[in-house]
Amino acid sequence: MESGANDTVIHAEGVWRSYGPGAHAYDAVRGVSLTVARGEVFGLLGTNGAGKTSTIELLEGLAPPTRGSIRMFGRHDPFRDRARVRPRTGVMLQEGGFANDLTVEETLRMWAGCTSTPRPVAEAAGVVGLTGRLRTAVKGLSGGERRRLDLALAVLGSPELLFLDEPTTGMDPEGRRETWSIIRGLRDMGTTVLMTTHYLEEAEQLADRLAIMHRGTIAEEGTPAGIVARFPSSLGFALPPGVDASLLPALDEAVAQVDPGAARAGAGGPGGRTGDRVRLTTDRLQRTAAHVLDWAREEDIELIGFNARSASLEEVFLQIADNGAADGGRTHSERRAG
Amino acid sequence: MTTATHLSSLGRAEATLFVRAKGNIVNVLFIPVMLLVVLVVTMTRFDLDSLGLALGPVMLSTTAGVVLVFALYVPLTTAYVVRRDELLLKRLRTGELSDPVILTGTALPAVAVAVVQFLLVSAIVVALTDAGLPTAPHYPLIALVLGCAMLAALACATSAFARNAENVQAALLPAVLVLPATSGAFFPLEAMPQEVQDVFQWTPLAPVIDLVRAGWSGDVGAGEALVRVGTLAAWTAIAAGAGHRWFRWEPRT
Repeated sequence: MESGANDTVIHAEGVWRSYGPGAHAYDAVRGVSLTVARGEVFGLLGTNGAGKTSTIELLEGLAPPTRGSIRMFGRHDPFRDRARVRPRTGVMLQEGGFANDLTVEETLRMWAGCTSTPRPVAEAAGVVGLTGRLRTAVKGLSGGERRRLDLALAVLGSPELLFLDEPTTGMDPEGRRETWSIIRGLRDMGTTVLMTTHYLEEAEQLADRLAIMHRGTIAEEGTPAGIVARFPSSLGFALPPGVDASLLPALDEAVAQVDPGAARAGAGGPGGRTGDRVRLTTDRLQRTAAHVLDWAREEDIELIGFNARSASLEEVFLQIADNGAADGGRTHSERRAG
Repeated sequence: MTTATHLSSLGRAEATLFVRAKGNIVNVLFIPVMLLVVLVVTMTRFDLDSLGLALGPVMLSTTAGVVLVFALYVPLTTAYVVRRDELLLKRLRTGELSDPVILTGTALPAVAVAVVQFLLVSAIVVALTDAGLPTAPHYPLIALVLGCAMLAALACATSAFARNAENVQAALLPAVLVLPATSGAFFPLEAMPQEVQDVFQWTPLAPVIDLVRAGWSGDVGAGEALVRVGTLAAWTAIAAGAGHRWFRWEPRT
């Protein structure tokens, strides 16, 4: 451990990563900057192909960035200063990385021999719940068990900084919860964690801070609550047939989106018809909802299918993904850049 | 110290895998033994006496060539491809090991098998012929050390040209055909026209054959030996350069 002056574990500045030569180059990462502080769990979210794995591999030091700079522990370049950085980091790749014909115990023992200060093999297996599987060949493990073995290897050297690329993919709900509690335990002992995931619940449960990536850039960054707070809440309902959306009271704080005269058979009211469908987005959900409900009571109008929702990480995520879909896609020539 | 620990951990795991992979039994035991039997038969058909050669040293040099190609180069190339496809190489690269240590550690069992095989078969050949003990043992030693390095480096380069484990054989074929045939491992170069000999003496495996033979026959001057060692070292450097240039740490996507 170093002094308190060095509290930035990862600092990346304007990082790019391109695959392929010259004119055919594909930019998987396009100017990512991020800072991870000591003791923090930092989540990297994004759709498939957003550049999460390409980014985390740069931070792990598996490849140098095409442009930009990365500093680990305040001064080291993860690619060039590999020998200095690696004893302090643990890595779990997105996918496997085992010899299929070795047993769990042989795999752990090999990694222990390749690690400066390894935990005992039995302890490492115990932490991830693989004690009963020590003599099983890796190829006989389930997908979830392989992820656990991978986690055991990543934490074998008690690293200061842990990279986890989709750590719970392929796990059953119980395994996922156990993994979450292992990650929390590590954080409580001061381990810094940088993880990618495409499970929003996982990010909400674990991450102190998040970055949501889209098309190689960071679209949103902050605490989960902070990110969600920047996005508006929404109200939705349908008006009965004959009630025009223009009769709604004026609401300064809300933006209305009207789907006019969606008179679909069987969709709602007594006649099996509904009128205009209305969706209001607002930064002040309670106030807007009260206005709308007061108006409906005074006018004696039934709001069909009324619902009011605070913004959630899921909605933020979907909005970011949708925005991207609208601005015309680039071809993805490269499939592993998750 | 740490490098030694790293190498032994990796080497031990790789040795376990080596024993468990069925194909290796064929490559390591069956093929060299069969080749040697065939070679005894064909070699005795050449009029070695008229070429000024003794059967013992020719057999010993053939053993070195065959063992390096079939017991070292072939299984090691396969091992690199399989470990790459398993993403094991990429995973190892996230740890504390340096790239050369990963490559060397993976190569250790194949190198050990090749050396042990050479020693065992040599003992048999020495016992069966009148070759006796080598009069200049430093020549075969240098040939074996550099030969192992060259073929391990060539295995790195070759692995890049195999898309997956099923395609390894095709990628291996050129070297497996060309190296023994142009070096005197399959038949003495002395039996070929002088022009061919003049060209073939510069091929990668030829210096190994000549140096091993010289260990027993002692008919090589210091100057010529130096040229042979230089040729072998140059090919080793070229193979290492090719390996460095082309080696792939993860599967193509």
